[in-house]
Amino acid sequence: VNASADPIGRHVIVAAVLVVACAAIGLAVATIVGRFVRLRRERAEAARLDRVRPLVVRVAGGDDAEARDALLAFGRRDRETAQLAVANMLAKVRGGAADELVGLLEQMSAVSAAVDDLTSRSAVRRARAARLLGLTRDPQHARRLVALLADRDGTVRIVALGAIEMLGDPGSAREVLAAASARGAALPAMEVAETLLAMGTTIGPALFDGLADGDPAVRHVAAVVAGLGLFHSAAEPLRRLLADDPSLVVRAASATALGRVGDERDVDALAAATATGQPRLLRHAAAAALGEQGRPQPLAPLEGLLDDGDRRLAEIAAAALERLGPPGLAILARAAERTRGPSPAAWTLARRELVRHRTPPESRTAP
Amino acid sequence: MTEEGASATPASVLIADDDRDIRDLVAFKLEQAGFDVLVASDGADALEAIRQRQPAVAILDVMMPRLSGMDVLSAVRAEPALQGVRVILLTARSRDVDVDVGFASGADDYVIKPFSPRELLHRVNSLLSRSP
Repeated sequence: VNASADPIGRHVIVAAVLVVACAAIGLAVATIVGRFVRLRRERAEAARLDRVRPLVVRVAGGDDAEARDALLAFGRRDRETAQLAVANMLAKVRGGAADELVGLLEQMSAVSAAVDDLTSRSAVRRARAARLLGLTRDPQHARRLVALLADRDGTVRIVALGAIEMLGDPGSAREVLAAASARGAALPAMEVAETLLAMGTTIGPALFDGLADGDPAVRHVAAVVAGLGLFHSAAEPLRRLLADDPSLVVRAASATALGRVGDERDVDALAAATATGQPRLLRHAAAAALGEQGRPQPLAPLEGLLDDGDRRLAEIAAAALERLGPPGLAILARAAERTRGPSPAAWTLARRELVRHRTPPESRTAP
Repeated sequence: MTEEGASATPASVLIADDDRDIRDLVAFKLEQAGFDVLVASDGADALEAIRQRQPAVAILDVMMPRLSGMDVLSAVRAEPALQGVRVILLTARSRDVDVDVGFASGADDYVIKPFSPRELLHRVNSLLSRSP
């Protein structure tokens, strides 16, 4: 551009440069001011926390009316910080200390506020309220939290599930199990399983219904819980699922569960599930389950897997034989001698020897 | 020693945890009961405090920065001069195998989080009453 021939164009360029420069300076100033404000807010919050924490510690440490009164006399902001500090402490204690802190939250009206917040438009408030109600470990909040399993926000659903786990209320078992369904909340299987396991052994009837549910995701969770929770009375439905469930994941979970709650009658079915041609996931689960049986019957089928073309399956079989004790170890020793080289059997024995040398002599178990 | 108060020479107890809430709460509860309380926020500081002060009881969190509670426990059990130190592991690790490993490594007691401060105090008193 010839500047002398085109003064208007030059002015436009200068103006544009000025506008961009002003915008850049404005942005920099806004960033600096924003950081300053955030830093000040964080420092003020940290100072408030330093004021309230010692009082919260005193309340958790025993019946301290003076500390409780001081916390209750705080203004709105300090009180919000105190509620946060109480909730954080509550997650770490139980017994009398937890009772003291829950009592304090009730006196602060934080529990009733949390109940109101369960229907807040803000997902953050709903999640925070759910966590607080879970921390109270008061089963009367179970119904409210179960309703939140259908929340439109996924994070709220997960937090509600964790809160129900803290309550450990067996009356919520059916709804929690249903939350694993792909047609419902579709919550992660292991999270749902952990929540159910926290409810104790009275969830049996809900669990049996779950094993017969039309949704494979629900059957899967029910099978996992039946095994981990040692529900021996679930062995029969688990056998049916292992034999003919249309879902591979359910069959594999049933095999794993039968390793823990089954008996010698299950060895043949589990061995058949490790056969060549069966899906890899099922073969692995069944081989590991055979090692959980604690009886000599699985020795032969497991020995046959040590030379399998699926290296991982051979490793699982070796680990299973190790768990079966001296007869399994003898098979591993023979296999290691036969194959010579880094076979799964040799590797398992070498690892075992290494562990034995690292374990204090007095805590070693029999070979 | 009773829960309410220590004898003329208070026994010293170390609490080592990287969680400030737990550290402060346990320290408060122990001081309330009349113990001489030592505090550490990581494993290395805990081991140093144990070597210097040889507390009657050390309450160790398992997962701590710099040195884990298990590392501190191993070091304590390996030093003849520290054999009199009773160790309680205070941890969120609640599986049977974790408890087994804790005791096999030389812990005198094992407390699972979330914990009851009152119960922890009873365990400390119980260990002290069994001390030679």
